[in-house]
Amino acid sequence: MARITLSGVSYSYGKKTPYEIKALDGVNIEIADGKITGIIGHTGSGKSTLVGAIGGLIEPDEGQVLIDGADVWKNRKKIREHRFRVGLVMQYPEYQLFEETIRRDIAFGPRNMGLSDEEIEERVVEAARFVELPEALLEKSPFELSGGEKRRAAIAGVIAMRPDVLVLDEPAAGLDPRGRAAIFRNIAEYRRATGKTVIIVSHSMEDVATYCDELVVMSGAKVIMHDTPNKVFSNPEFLVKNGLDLPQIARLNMYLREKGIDLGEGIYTVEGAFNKIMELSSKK
Amino acid sequence: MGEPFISVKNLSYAYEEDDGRKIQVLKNLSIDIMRGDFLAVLGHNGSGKSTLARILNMILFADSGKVVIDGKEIIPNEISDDEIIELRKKIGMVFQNPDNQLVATIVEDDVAFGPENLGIPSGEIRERVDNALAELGMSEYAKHEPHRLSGGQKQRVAIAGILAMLPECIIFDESTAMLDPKGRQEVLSAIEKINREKGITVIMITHYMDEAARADRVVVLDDGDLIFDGKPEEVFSHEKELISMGLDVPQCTSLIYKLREAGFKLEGRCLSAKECAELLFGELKNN
Amino acid sequence: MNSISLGQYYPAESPIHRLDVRIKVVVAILFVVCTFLCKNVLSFALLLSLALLSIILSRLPIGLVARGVRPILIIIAITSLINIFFSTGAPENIVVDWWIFTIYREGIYNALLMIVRFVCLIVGTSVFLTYTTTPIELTDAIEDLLWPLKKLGVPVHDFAMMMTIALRFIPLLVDETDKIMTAQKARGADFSSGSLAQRAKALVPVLIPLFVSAFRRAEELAVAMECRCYHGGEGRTRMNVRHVHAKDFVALFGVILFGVGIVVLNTLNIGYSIS
Repeated sequence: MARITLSGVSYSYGKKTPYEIKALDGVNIEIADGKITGIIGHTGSGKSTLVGAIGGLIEPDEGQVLIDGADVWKNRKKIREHRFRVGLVMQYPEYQLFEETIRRDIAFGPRNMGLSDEEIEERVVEAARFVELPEALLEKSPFELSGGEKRRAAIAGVIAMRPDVLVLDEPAAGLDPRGRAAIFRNIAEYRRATGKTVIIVSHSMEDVATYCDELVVMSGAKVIMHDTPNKVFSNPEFLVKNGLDLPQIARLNMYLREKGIDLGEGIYTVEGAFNKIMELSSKK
Repeated sequence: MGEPFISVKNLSYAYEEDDGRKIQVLKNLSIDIMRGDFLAVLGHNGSGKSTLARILNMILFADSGKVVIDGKEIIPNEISDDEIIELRKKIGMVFQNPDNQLVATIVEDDVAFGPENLGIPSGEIRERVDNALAELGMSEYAKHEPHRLSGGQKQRVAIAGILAMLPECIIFDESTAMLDPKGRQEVLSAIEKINREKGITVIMITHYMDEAARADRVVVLDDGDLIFDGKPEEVFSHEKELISMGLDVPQCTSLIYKLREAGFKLEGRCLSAKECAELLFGELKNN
Repeated sequence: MNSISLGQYYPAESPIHRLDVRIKVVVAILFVVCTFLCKNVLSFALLLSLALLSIILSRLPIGLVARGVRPILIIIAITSLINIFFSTGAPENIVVDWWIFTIYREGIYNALLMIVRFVCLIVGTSVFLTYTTTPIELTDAIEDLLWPLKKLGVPVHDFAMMMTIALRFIPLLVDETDKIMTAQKARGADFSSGSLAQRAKALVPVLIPLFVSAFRRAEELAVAMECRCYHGGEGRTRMNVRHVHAKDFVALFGVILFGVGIVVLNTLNIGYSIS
């Protein structure tokens, strides 16, 4: 288990150029251990930078990133160990595949950790199982796989490091609905089986509403809300003001409320709305 | 009705894998597209929708079947390069990745690329470029570098580049798939505008049902077969089949489907949150 | 991340920005030739005035132009020091004679001229080319200037097209390299320690995806270009047809006249010269 805390973290791109952009501005946050946390915010709000900082790939200009209370940048030589503990899957991770076979590519992380061959093999097989890649595909070249399969292979490459925290930046971007569904099914199952912390960055309010236990809302390089989906989606005006969408069901709820029918708070998933409507109509 | 602008009859296409297996991408597909149509082609990856687009733009040629565009039949190996260019002028194409279809380092130079290829006189190119950029609300970015624009803006530049060729039809090949929600809305509005205001025929390939719902006509492809063809509300009434084909059903729509299964009446269009709210209001107001 | 910009084009409305690019290329070349023609104080003073005049005309912030000199400050410093300490001159011109150092007036004079020459070189090329001309205009201009080579069968258009595409995609690929490196670092790749051979090997996981991506982009771009009716340079027109106007000729003849003036000064040996 690992407790991730950010305290006063700031970071800018293009420092000392006319294009300097502040991507993180004094971010304080503690990520819930063993839960799925979703990070939402419009493009340019600092989501990707935040996960880069959590994963030890972006060194803050100010403030500290702590894991179990220890500053991860205190000993710069040990930053790799932090990267093994917090596994970051970047956007469009299939573009990082480079080995001749999927098996070897998934093994890249574990090999960098200096593990034995048996241990590596065991982890590769386990990771491939989590992302539902059949054994036969492991011997294939990345080029022979479909888009969705490549994406899942890349995710397996990070899972195989057995990180305490798995961070995914837009894991389903650009995939078709089937590919999307498979990715989220895998993540939910991974979390269920391992009990480990998962962080997901997403544009899709529907996806975070369905899968996340906690939500972090970012806007203008700051964390402006950190709460349960229930609370976050009970405040539609606040979200819309910050350039965010609502899950479709929450929007439906809002329209119904305008018409005088209240499904009540905390209705933002298909399941929730369905049950509520059944309940309302049975009272007739 | 008159002659269709694009007529496809019994089109088949297959490609060969490295190991010699033949993959049938399109099977006996027939479809007529009229001038001014706003057609959405819906299907998951590998359903053959992009192949269809590539055949219509003569990047690929059919194995068998007949393709007629604006009265001109495309016969592989017979059609000349000049004839191909003549047809491509009429059918523009916007692709998925905005970065990989812009050629120039300045927005307006990129928009000018197509007309320049067509040998249009300079003064007229300038006029077309200015008009196209204005049409898409990108005039203020005319002198910008594409790589500094957002995804939605880049995609609008790509559309302007096609518009400047004064096409009769534009094919959008999953042009919103890589964009964030804001970019998607920008591009969708642009597509609608092009069709409604300029009367340009639009073929929009997508795997999002809520996008397809904005078209006048929806065609659903699955593994190379044409499964449905009709108005969005007709096509989307086949809920079970669509879900089994792995299509993305909007959450509100799937809520209504579930309620219908549970015995609720709820008749009517249910493709947006607003429409669903109307339906539910009708049902629940009596409580 | 989006901060990579090729060239240093500074957008502004100025007489120099509006000059025909082909003329600008020729003017810049002539200006460079002039800096090497200058031999005495008067001609250098004239050169410096011309440089100042062109900065004013270009409406570039003086700080921006000065920054352009910064990368070669070290070179300027070293060459001036060499000039100061190692030039010898007439015995009556000794300024400092201390320990092993003997500094002559000629040394200081040479160093100063050297500084002026370097500064003018940078100012001339940056004012006429890099700051006031976009890389793409430059490519077009070069295509035009090399036009006579077309007659000899050199594929000038294709080269220019390749340049254009390279200029468009270099920032993208730089960005992508950065992303792939970060992705591999997240899997424990180590690019900054180990022997040279180890570091080279560590780049394989970056280079392979980068090549794959470059090829994929190239393929997609080729299809997109074909769909936009690209079929080589034959029958192609340009949106921006360049016309050489009177002001372009004024600039061109101005610089030619300046060069001729310098040569005349040199041959007549007018202007203060110490040696």
